[in-house]
Amino acid sequence: MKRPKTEARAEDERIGELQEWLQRSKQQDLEAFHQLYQRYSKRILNYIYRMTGSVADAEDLTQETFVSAFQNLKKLKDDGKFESWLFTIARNNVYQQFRKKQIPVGSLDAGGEEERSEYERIAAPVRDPQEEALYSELQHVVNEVIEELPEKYREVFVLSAIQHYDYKRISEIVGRSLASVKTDIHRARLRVRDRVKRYLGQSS
Amino acid sequence: MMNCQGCRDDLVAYLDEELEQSMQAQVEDHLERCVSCRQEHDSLRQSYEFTETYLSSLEPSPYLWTRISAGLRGEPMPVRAPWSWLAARISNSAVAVRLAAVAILVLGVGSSWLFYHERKLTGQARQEMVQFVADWEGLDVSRVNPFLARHEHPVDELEANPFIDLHHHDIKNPFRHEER
Repeated sequence: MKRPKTEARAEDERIGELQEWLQRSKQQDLEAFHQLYQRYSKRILNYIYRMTGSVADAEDLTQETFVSAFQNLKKLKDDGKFESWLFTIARNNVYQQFRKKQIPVGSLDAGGEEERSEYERIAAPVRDPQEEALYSELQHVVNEVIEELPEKYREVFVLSAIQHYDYKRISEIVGRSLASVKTDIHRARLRVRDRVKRYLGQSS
Repeated sequence: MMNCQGCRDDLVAYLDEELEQSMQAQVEDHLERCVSCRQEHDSLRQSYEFTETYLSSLEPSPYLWTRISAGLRGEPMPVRAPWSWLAARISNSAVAVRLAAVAILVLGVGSSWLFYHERKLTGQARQEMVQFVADWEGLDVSRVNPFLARHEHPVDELEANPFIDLHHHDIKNPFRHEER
């Protein structure tokens, strides 16, 4: 399907802008890098958070990711792959952290829930108390369902369902074949569906 | 023609819009004819909508960029927001209980000390304060509540302060006992 002209132009402008920021960042321009940070920090933070289950770790590793990206930007050959490259750095940091702490990959610390609610309150829109209670209960269900996924499925699920990346980009980030990514996303989606269904069946 | 197994294997990719056009058409064609696969499709789509609706996300704290840019400028990099170590520990319930116990103890001891200290101030210092307030307010000493009589600023300083109108205010005076 052909994109409408205005949409295509906006996309071109976005790419042009991105390339300019990248070029300037490669010359150690911190202001340009700030623009890149603003565009990608939320995605990186949430990806790491979903993988580690800890807000503090998510912040620390996001910091490390951006610092490392800035210092190694010159090594990035294809500017079009910046986003995947950034996610690969984040992913490496996550797995390094798992190894350092010697914890099973993706097992969530006990503090996740309290830390999370603190942050989520900030972004939560205003609802009436009853609606709010139901909403946060269902949010809790979704969080739990994602946390329960085995790490291999969770990672691709987060990248697909939360970050809305296409399979090709996900395969670039996780360094696996397109077919394997497709299979894992399929399995993850079925698991999530079954868990949600079970929950909604129980509560109704 | 696509069979049920083939359709189900591709349903997630179909919902993710990852199928080539010809495959997509085949899935759609099958879904139109097969009630059971359509139900499978609908329940999957509902779970997509459910997770999409109730998925929460974090907002990067404004402090995060400060940390990153400090690190990149070669300044010593603060590890976390100053309060985050506490937040991270409070999230551990056992530590939270201990912290709460310490807080209650400190508050208890502190308030007892203050109360005791307040009661002890009945000697010369208290009398001087009462006298000062009475003079300032133009009241008889007996009409000054000794437990409220406290003033931190010399009167001159207050007189000189253009933002305080000492002579024309209409605010109830906390030092004055209510006339009954």
